[in-house]
Amino acid sequence: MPHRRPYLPSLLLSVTLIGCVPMRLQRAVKISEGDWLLFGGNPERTNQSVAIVTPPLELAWEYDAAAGFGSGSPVAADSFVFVGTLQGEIHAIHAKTGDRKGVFSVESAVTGSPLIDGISIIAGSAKGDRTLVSYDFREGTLRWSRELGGIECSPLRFANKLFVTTLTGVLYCLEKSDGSDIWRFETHQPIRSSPATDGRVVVFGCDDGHLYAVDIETGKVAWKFKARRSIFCTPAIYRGAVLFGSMDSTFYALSVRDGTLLWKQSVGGKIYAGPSFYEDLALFGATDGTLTALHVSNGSEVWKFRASSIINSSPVVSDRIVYVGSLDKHIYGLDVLTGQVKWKHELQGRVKTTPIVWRDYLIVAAEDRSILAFRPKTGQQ
Amino acid sequence: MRCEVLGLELRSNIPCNKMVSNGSLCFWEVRAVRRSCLLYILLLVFLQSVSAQFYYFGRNKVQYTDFDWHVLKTDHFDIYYYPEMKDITERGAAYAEESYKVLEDKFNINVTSRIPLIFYSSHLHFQQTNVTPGFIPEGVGGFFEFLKGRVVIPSDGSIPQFKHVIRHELVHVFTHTKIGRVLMDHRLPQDRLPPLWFTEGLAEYWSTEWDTQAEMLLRDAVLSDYLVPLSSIESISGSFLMYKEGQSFLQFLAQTYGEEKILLIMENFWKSGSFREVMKLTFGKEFKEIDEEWQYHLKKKYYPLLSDYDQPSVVSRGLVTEGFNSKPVVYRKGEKSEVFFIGNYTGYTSIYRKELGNPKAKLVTVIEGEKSDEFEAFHFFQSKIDISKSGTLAFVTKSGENDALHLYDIDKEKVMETVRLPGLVSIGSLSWSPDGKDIALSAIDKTGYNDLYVYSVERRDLKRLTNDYYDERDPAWSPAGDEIAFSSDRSVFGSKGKYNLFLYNLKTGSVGYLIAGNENYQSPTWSPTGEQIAFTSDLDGARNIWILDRRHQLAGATSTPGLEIRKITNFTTAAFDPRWTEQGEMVFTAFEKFSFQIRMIDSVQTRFDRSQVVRALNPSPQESPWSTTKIEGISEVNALRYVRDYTLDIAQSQISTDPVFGTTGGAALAISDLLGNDQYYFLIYNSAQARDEILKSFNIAISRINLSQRLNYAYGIYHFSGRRYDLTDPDLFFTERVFGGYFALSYPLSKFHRVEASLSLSRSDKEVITSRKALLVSTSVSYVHDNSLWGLSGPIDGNRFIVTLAYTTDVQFSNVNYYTLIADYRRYFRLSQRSAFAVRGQLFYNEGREARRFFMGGSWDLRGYPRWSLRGKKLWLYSQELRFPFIDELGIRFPFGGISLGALRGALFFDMGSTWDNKYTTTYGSLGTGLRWNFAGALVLRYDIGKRIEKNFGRLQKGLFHQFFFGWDF
Repeated sequence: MPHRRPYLPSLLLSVTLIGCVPMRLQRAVKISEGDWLLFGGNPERTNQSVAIVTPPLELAWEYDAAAGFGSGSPVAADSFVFVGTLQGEIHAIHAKTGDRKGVFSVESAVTGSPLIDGISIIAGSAKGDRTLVSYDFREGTLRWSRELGGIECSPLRFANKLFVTTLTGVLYCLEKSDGSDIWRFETHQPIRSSPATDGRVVVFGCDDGHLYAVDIETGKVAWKFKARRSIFCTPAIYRGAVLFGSMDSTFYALSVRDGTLLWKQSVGGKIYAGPSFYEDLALFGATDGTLTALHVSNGSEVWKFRASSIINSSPVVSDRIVYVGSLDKHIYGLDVLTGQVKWKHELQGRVKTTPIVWRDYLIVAAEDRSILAFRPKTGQQ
Repeated sequence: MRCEVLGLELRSNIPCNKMVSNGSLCFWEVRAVRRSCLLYILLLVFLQSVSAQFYYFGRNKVQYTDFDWHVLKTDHFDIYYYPEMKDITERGAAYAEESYKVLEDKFNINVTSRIPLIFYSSHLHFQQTNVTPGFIPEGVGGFFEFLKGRVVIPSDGSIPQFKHVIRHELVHVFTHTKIGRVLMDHRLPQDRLPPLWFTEGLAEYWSTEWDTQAEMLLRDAVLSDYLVPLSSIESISGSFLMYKEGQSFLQFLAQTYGEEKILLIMENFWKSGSFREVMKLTFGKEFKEIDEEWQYHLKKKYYPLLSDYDQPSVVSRGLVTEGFNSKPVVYRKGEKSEVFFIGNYTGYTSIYRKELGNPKAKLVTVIEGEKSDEFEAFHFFQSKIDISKSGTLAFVTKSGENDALHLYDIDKEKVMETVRLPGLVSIGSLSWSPDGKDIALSAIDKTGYNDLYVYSVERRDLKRLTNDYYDERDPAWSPAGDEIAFSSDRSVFGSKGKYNLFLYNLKTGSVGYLIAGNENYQSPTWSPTGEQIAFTSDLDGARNIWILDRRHQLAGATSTPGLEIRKITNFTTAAFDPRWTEQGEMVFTAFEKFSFQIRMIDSVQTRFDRSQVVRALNPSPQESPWSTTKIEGISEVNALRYVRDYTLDIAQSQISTDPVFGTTGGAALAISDLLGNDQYYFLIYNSAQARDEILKSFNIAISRINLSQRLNYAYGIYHFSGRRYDLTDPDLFFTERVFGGYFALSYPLSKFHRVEASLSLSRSDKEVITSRKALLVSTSVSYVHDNSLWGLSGPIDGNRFIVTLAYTTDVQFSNVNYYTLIADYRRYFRLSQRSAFAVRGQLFYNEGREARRFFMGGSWDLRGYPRWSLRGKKLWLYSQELRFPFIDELGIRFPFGGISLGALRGALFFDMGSTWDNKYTTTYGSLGTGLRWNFAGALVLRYDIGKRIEKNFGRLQKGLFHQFFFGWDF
């Protein structure tokens, strides 16, 4: 009987290895000003970029992540872009070429953005026994993990503290280095909103309809505000106010000091994602397909842009352009002062993730499993 | 309804199970070819599923109407309609776009492809659709077919209801999109959906308000203690109660936990394959706990009702208290009074009568429906019947393409006249004029709108009274003969689906308000003197009977303000269809214990006088009647004539390995146009065992079936080649190459009868021991009848009949030349609601050169004998079987839960028959008993035990035979 070589196992093994390159970058990332290390770009989650990317834009590269994306955005630093997928993977992509630099798996879907912290990527996942992990991408090893219940938020770092909200209704304040508890604050209702901070309080929305502000040192509630329905949106802190939208189709501005309602503005659809800012303007999307610009100071409407379908991700502002994606499969670049369309690009899939503007690139994840990087057309910048 | 193909049974039959012939009588050549049998079966299943009328027995879905299909293109929809219904299409299109925006917001997703909406202007037209192969029952208001994402919706005359169904089906479209996207994003197979109670409950919750019909059902379920917990709701899957329990549960979740949670259930759907686990992950508590919270909420809500309201059985006299019954009317002749009504006891909907005042009186069937072409179907809850003073019962049935009005002489017990009203598609309620010369009726024409008409029995002409898009129902002719009361949604409250009462003045032709308000006022009926009008209203939350006393008005008052209405029933559930008797009593339909009962109130006037619930009538609204937005101007730009655009229905490939037949591989695919009228089937596989056999071992079949008209036709070509097994003759293998083509026709005479014919031409080269060549021409013609009614394990009522004549000849070599006769008659005598006595007689006869043999034996025909052990060119079989319920609910209960195995049916049987070639020798027989278990509605497992009757009926078998198999009863 002729000897048969085990072709099939070898083939399967080689396919597996080709399909999953372990993430081992062999160096720490160099953090520069303007790097997009966490969701919203800063602890206040203001979605403002210091980089200037002016339309018209052209596609620089496209990356196939092989799965869909949650509501978080990519993060970027040094020469890497990191993105989490709903299949439970975090991909490292070369920022200039769009090449895959590595992938590591977590237990379940990564709905929010990962967080870049020196040599680590910290990410939450929606279910499993290790729902928060700190992964050393220099060595390709797991630094620590915690079982905190399902996490669908984007983690927040401030100084040496790490903040995460969970579907079990808890805001955790953890030691960044080892993930140990510093304090915890319980709401008893799931939390999908990501925390934001001004260094004094940590704010987040909750399924119970409250916007909570928790003292960053003690973990005690500083104040809370009740909207009419759940708050899935990540609040932003800007010019002394906490700004956020709710499932009650209302956009609120509260005093960050004591939670006093400064103003509120009703819109025609539910608000799933937090705002972006330009000077005195707050910009946010809604499920009626509108992107609304309001005065931060008094809530009066400045302009309104209507896409063909839902906007359920945050916009990002770069110089005088606000970029926003829609489920109508377009990414739009609007004049931040007038709402006029300066540039738009049709993608293969819906856009339900927040884009980022980083260095020369506008980076956006589309529903067809691809990450796209646009840069100004040659000669434009 | 069986087709025996290689040991598998399909719920349809092709003559080929007894006719494994060289010249096939059916146009899909079915032979005992074991190799690639799955592909064969696949093809057959497709064909069976799309065109049941081509098969052995089975009723017919008749394409009576020649629709001129057009397409209206809007932002998100391609709307298919025919020009007669242009107006309602424009209104439906506007609402579909409006609904799209609402649902986009609720689901937080959009639908990226265009959604095909197929509109029909009446339920009768809807029943002709080929989008789904099955029959569409009366109660189905529309459906979403998710293979091609098609939504099919008929009008029932009511625009608010049309809108409700549009949104209901669009909720399904969005649910399907959402769930598919969630699974795809997480790289999970899109092979599951939430349970039916959730998807249907959600479709109801997000498409309509909680109305009195839903309230009636849930109140009754709670107060009569048959509410089914969601944890065991599978037991009522697909029922109206399931829809409403699902709606109620989701409403409870939204009120208690926030509506966002419903969306989160779908967002979390990827997290577990168990929906209960998904619920737990969404709500943070066990599904059972939430289920109990909901049940407790309902009990807390409904139990206190009993302090102020009564169940109908406590305060009224039951005339007919079992089953579903409606539309009672009393006829009195001399001293004898009888109530006539539409009911469903036996499974067939019929008109019954029952004598009043005689406690021992039995139900008598007056008109038996659903068995004949003339009375094809009653519109159970929609068409009120009426009896003239002279004793003529007027009623409506579907009869062929449209509804027909029948006039039945009660004394002569005979239908005197059947009237087909030109232009009217579906007829609603009827009301005789007091002089018995005219009949007022509501009816839907091809526009899809329900209007009032008067039909003159004497002059045989039809006069239209209203002509608008409002929904006119329940006409009731006044005793004075000058007015017709009716309910309609034509008031300002009609846009929300509320029906008010109106009067049509026959002298002036004007319509005036009788009762208006933001509630439902329906089913008006005049007192014998005409001074009072009774009607139903949900003014107090449940539909009850109220009376308007017009004596003051008739005495001189000119306006409705100042009049009052009084409630004479105070039921927890609902009352419908009140009708006064000449003696001042009232018969009506009441809902209780999940049945629609015919009940009676003896003294209406006493109740009226003592009524504590009195309401002053609202003044008539001054506003103009409502309207709805339209997508204006179906024009050349956005409306196009329908052009067939074919898309894939299914594609499947297969590779199989068999120790005898080796490896075969192939594929089957089907394509059809959007309306499902034109279908193509492709089958290809190769059975080569060596390289040089590849070319000659291709097996290919291409078929086209056209169902767009009443005359259905199919044609195709085929080439089959390879090694085969002939189970009809000497149990041997042979090699055959056959190629040719066929053409077949099927013409349904009605739902119950059809004529079929086929012609095939094929070349057959066969090698058994020696080679045989033939150029075969086969022709056949069949007549098929089927009006059977099915129970759990098979037919229990009606009869089925088929006769086929066929001729097969070799026109080139004269090697084959034989004729075939098949006659098969089955009749089912109903003994009780669930038991029947069944009889079957079969004769199969082949005669001529190379005539094939039939076979018999086994659980499906001659029981007690080995399967297919008796073979001959001639065959006869006679069977008798008593079918009866044996165990209604078989369950196993474990400490951690239980499972229900459903019901067991019993049978006592006697079979006799024989097969022979040239000389008849032996008659075989058997008798015994058996059990039948219906597994999930798809498969019946059969166990028989008995004795063979051997030696030409000379002795009984020693011992017993046991046979276990599967298949439906004959």
